[in-house]
Amino acid sequence: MNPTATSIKLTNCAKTFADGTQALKPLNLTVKAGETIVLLGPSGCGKTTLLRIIAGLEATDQGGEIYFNQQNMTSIAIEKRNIGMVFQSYALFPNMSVAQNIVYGLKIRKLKPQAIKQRLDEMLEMMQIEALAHRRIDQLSGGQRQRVALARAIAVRPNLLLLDEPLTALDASLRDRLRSEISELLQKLGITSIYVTHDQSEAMALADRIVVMDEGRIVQIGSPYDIYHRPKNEFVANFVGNVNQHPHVFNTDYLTLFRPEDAEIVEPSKGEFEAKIMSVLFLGDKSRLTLDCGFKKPIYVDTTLRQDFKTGMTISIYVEPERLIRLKTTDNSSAAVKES
Amino acid sequence: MSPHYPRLFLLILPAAIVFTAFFIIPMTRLIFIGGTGENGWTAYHAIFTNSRYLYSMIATLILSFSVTIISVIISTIVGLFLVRNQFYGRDILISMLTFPLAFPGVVIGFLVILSAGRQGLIGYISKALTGDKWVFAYSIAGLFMGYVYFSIPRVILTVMAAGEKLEPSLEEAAKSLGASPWQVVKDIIIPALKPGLIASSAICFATSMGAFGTAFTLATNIDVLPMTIYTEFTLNANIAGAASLSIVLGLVTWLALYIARSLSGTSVAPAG
Repeated sequence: MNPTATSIKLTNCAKTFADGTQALKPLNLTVKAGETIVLLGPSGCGKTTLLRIIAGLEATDQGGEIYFNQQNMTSIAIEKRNIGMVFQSYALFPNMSVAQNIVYGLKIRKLKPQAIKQRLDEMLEMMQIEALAHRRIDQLSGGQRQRVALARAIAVRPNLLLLDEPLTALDASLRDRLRSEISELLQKLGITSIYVTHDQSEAMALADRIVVMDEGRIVQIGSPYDIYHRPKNEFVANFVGNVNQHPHVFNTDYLTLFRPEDAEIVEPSKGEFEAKIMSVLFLGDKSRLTLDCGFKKPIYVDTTLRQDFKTGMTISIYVEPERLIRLKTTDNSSAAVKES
Repeated sequence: MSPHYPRLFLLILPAAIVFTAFFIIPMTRLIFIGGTGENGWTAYHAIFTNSRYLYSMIATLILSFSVTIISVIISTIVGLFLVRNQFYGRDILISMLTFPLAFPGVVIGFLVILSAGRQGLIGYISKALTGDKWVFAYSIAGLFMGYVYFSIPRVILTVMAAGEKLEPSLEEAAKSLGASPWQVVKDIIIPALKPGLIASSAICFATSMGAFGTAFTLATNIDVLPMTIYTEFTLNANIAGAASLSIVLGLVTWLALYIARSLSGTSVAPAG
């Protein structure tokens, strides 16, 4: 871990916009030094607003406080917070070259030319963009732009790295590659990072802890494993992956769910319920079956069995009890049921 | 020869006729008329040798330069403010700011007289405050005031168009890297507005160089070049002199636009 890493504490932070809409309900959040936190949620859930409050681009409502380490930063302007920020739109300065973009923050900090040169070379090498140093921004591809943006944000050795949907504007294959590069980079630097995304696979891959948000609230905080396997409510369960409702009611106080990959296709004698195959999506490494078991909602099952499933077949399904997700139905705070 | 040439020729013909009839022929005649006076072609030299002409050229250049600089500074600040702030009455204010675009020069001159003339508001106030009556409507200061007044709307409209295209995340990125508000303006906003500012400066300069109506109304103590041309043409019947001055005025303005154009890399058209 980076010894200079900064911890973050938010207490009672809320945001009400001028038109009266409350984008963020009062919330508390602690980020450990060196930790990577992913704020995950659908658009409009308040995740970007929260990031902007931490950055200092938005002020929290009266009563909210922000601490970097033990220092109260609530009324400190963004330019004094020593953060690095990466935007979905890259936000590279079009009037400057790649190298000029990267050293901009260092020039502002009045580093000596020698130190600036050294840091620039270090950043170009780290992001593997040495060949681009003298290019204009409009000569770069999306992936190259985002590398430059990362280099620019990291070059200033920030206390905190904030990334606002940095991969959303890229195409799928590039997104996967850059995602693993960012993951390695964050681990190597040990910098405290807060990453905003609506993409659950990005959140899973990058986060030490995921903060799931909905309608301006934090719904659940936990490790990717916890969030996926022990979701707190149906909203979280649906948002971080597909989930089916078990046709059997084991206990009326609980909703019983299971993930498509946790269902086993078994011999009729060992099955918990039978279902008819409505459609088969063969993906090579697995098949996704859409099943009808007399429920209003279809059930999805992923299987790696080497069997040529056909529409119309009837199969038996079994889910191991420890793989079931049980949610209390009496919990009123759980979000509205969403179609999976 | 490409088979497309005859068709291209037909397409270009209307433009060529208009250009020849209303530009090349009159301009060529004007150039020659400039050389038909009693001094012959040396008339073109008169801008340097005739002290009245030279003085009027220098005054016009200084006036146009200072009007351009002041108009651009004022309009940039106002334009950015209008783009970034929503307030009650904003739309009415914007349409009022563009009001002077509809006025002929003589009306602008009249407005300057109303505020800085002998019976003007400024004189009235200054008399009450200092005991001195400030009257500058008929001097270069009055012309300056009038020119700035009609230049501002053109520049504001350009700045607002460019300002609306400014990406907010660029400024946010600069701030996150530690840039102070002034550094954000210097490093991000001004460079982004630069093409628009150069284009509108050029238009502003060309308009000021050629403005006549306002000068005609106000210029009793000072001669700007369009006024000199008018005087030579109508009062002194010095047609050759008027023609040569016109060509010189056109060349100087064209040169300024050409420089602006090569600086900004985008096309700049003279107006007014």
